[in-house]
Amino acid sequence: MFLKLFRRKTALTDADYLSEYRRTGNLTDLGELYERHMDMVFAICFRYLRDEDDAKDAVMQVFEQLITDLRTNDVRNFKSWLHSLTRNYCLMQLRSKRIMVSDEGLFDDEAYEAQVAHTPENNDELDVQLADLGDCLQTLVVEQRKSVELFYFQQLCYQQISDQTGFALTKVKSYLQNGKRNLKLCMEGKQHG
Amino acid sequence: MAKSKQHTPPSTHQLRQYVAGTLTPQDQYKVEKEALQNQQVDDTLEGLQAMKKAGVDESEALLDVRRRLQQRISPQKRRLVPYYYASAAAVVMAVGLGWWLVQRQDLPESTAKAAAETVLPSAPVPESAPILAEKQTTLSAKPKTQRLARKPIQEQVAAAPPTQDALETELAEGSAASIVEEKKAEEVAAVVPAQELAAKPAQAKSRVASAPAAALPLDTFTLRGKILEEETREALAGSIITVKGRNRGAYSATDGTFFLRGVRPNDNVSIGAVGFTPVQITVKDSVLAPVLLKAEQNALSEVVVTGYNKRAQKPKTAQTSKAYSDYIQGEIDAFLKQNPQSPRGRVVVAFTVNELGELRDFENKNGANGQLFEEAVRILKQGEKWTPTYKKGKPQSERKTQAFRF
Repeated sequence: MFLKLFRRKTALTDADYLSEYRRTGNLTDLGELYERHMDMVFAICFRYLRDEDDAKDAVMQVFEQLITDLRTNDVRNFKSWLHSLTRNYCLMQLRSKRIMVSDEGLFDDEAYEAQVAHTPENNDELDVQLADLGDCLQTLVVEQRKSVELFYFQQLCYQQISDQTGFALTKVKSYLQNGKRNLKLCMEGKQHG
Repeated sequence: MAKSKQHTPPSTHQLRQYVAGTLTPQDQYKVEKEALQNQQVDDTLEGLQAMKKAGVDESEALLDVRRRLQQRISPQKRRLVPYYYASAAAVVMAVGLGWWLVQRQDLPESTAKAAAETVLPSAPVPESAPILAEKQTTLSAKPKTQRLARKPIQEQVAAAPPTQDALETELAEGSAASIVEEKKAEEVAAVVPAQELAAKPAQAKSRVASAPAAALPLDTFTLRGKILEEETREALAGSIITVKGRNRGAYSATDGTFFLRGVRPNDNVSIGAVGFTPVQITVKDSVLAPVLLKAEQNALSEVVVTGYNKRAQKPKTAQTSKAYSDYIQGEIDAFLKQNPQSPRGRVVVAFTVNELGELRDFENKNGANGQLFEEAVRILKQGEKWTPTYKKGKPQSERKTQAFRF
């Protein structure tokens, strides 16, 4: 009996749970599925809301939204769908409360959001293009250029880059993100012009 | 590199290791690159880092959310189950009650009807057979068929009691003409149903007469009374009233009163309650004078309560499998290879598997070497996730031990 239960739990994929839930509308199925990804949802909520209790509430609210949304929507990749649902919920929450997150320049930079929204599709392309960046790399600020070179060409981790260059550990990431964005803009400018 | 090209994002477990700083630089690089490319990984990672910074106990928080989730899911379940059972029970009760009432009302009539029904089918048989025979004669107009048609009648006679059987065989042995023989047989056949008809109603009548007598015993009555405590004259609720030698009994209500059906005069009634000396009374009248019960000395201290506890289901976790013991052995071997000078010995680690399957509160049970203990804890933490013990379908935290032989 227990073995059967156990096997069922491990064998079912996200898609199995989803189709089961859409068929029966059974909250237990949805709950089991949600528990698998709850740590991710909680982490994301905490990232945006920066408060333990708010994040807990958000996790429950996202689940409520799942109950209704999954009845109608056909979701293929549940995890990434859940991520964007959670993220959108948190952003809405922040906007309604008009609380700014202390994360540097997350919301005052429209381009960042736009870029972030497209990242998954553009990644492979970007990696290929990185090979023939040439002069675009020269247009970057020194910190950005150094970070990009060390990270993408020498494949060092943030800690190692920080050790080598003396940049603050937290800065390395923003150098990389900004460098990447600037490179992209530069490449697009070249293509169009 | 192959990993990032396949686009298998790092698991939350890996991200936690990254935040805890236990990954090699290469693995750190992989995680960082994924995070730069994948917003989902980035958000999760940032969240974990923010939690670490803010000093939030992630597993504590997750446990709490998990409980809330279970609560959110379960009301539906809880409401449904009793509703089902209640409606099923109600239907069963209604049907049972209806059946019983019908049974009671129709008891005299139904037995008579049943008797009549059993008689009726047997009567038409001899009649219908000749009718059938006449029909056949009119159709075929041959004397032979008459003989064929009479056969059922002879068979009917053959089925009759043996004395009539003997009669028939005697008749058959006699060298009388076949027509006479057949006529006699016909007479015999006519006699048999008549006898049956006469016997059956008599039986039915006796049944009708006996049934009401059993259902309504004449000389019983309902005994009423009140039970009080002797000293305080307070009503004693829940005392037990039983009729000796018969399967009848009742409890007193909160005001000490009781009523007990089906009591006969001169029945011996026993009245008792926990902690009180029982009283025996011979019933004369349907109403008892208030019964006083005396408290028993030391009676309460003798009550022994025995509890039975169902054991929690043992989890068939991945950790009991061979793969896990192989994993542990592999890690131990790798550790010994890397640290040939390390001390050897047995380490017994006790730890708690909480509701999320996470491991906490490690304890060096046998006081083994500290280095070995740390390694053992590392192996446990790094290994496959544990499945918590389920008790009544809910995960429980549980204390476990695991032995390591270095």
